[in-house]
Amino acid sequence: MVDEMRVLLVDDDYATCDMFGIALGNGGVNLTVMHEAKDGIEYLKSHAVDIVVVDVMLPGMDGYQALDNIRRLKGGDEWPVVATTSFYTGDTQNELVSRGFDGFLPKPLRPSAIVPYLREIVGRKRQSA
Amino acid sequence: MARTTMTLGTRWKTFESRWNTSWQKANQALFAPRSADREIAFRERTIRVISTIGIVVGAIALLSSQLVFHDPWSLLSLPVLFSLSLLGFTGAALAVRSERIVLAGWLLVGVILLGGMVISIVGIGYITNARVAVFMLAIALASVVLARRSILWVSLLCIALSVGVGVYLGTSLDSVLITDSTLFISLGLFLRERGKESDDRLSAVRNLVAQAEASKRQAEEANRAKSRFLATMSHELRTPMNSVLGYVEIMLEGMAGELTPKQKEILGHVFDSGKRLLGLINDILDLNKIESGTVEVYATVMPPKKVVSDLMLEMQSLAEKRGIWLKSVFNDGTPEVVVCDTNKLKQILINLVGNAIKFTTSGGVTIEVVAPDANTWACLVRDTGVGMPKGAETYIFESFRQVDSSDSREHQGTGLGLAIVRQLTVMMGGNISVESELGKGSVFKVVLPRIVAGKVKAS
Repeated sequence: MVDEMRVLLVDDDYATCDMFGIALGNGGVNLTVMHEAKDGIEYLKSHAVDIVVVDVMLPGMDGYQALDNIRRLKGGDEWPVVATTSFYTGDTQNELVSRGFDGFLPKPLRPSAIVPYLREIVGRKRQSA
Repeated sequence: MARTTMTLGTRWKTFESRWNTSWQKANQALFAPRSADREIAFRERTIRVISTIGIVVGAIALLSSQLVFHDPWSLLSLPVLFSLSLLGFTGAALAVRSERIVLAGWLLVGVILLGGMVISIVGIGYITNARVAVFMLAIALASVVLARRSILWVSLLCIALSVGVGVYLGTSLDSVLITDSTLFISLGLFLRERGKESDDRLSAVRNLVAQAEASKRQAEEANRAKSRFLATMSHELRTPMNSVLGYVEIMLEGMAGELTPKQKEILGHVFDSGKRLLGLINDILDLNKIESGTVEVYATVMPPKKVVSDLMLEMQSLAEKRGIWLKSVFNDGTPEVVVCDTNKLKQILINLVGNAIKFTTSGGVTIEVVAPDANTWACLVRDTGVGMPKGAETYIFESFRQVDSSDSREHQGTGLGLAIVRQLTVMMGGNISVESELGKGSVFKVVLPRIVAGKVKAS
């Protein structure tokens, strides 16, 4: 039996959030969307999630700062955090991983690939915990 | 036998190093200048060295004059000269310690002038013209221990003293006034002008350096601005593309309801166009980035075999869809590891292999790794595809050039892929070439140095 996966998405682009909603709505996933980093962090303080997806280029707080803030929260190391960004080069992926992200979803998104990828990252994180 | 020599050797080494450290300390304490200005520090250091040597020599001279030679004391005698010199050197040493550099300099010059006069008057044996030599020494000394503007004053002083000595000794003044003054003035002028010339050259160099640094800062700022622009453009262009491709894919996957076959077909066209547009955007941004010089070359240790094998896995399905084979060959002499920019190499190979697959309908693609010589290694991408006409090898790597072909619909690309591949290869210090025959296929050869010069980063 597959648990319902709880996903927090932090992204300010309407299309991205909508697509996530559509793609995840079919697959037994509980999705919460926040448009600003600080809202996302507030949410994490009082709710449990299985995975956090963060846009690297957010207004106000870039993805790396958001990652740091998330990690600093209580239990912050347990959640896998995945980055999404439209700025993609081969080096970006390495840099994101070395900066502490657990995964990477390049934009443009492939909606059909999102759920399997997120499940894989959650599984990987649980195994290494 | 051997053991004794070794102990002696190490003993000498310890002694030598201790001697060096104490010498360095003494050097620092005695001779190191305190002043910040380079010119004054130079004078200060010279004065310190000369006064120290002068004190030592003067003391020895005085002692030996008294104890060994028993020279008599009188107003114009060697013992008096030695004592006065000793006083002068000591005075200079003390003056320099209390930062009175100008006074110290004049004291040293004074000692030499005094010596010159006494030697002339006392007339030590054969050196009647020692006076000229000593006075010239005084001028030379002035050029290193006094400010440049004082040099000519010392020259004039030397002339005056020479005249004085001449009058005292009753010698003819013609030679003094003509020969000696010419010598003293010309030496003074020469040394002064040399000093000016050095200073001018130095300030010219300093100006150039300052200019170069300013240009460098400007260039760096321009580069940073370019990078920021590219990053923003990339984001701005990809965001709407994300919308187009993402939504269309959602519909095609049926996530927004069932589609009629006709709707599916139409959306399929939209999706393909979107993908091509995205590819074009990516290529243009890439090429722009490379040509604006904002791309770094990284150097990591990399096993060629693994990279090629990984690539094979990625592109296998693409080849299978076309019904062609994809295989890799590693020749003897393939290096186990090389230093290379892995990401750039991957980009190059994906592009070349992708092209090869795209232009091949029967047969297949081979990736071959060879070692042309001890300093390089190479990847060859062979295909049994359509090939290209003679002469295409020369322009195929230029931007926006494609091979004109009758079935153009099937082979549409951006025309930028190979231009990017070539830039990436060249950036890593390699080169790329192609051999092809229409109807038979093509071989693209990428030669790279075994050690790529680039930034090392933690892999």
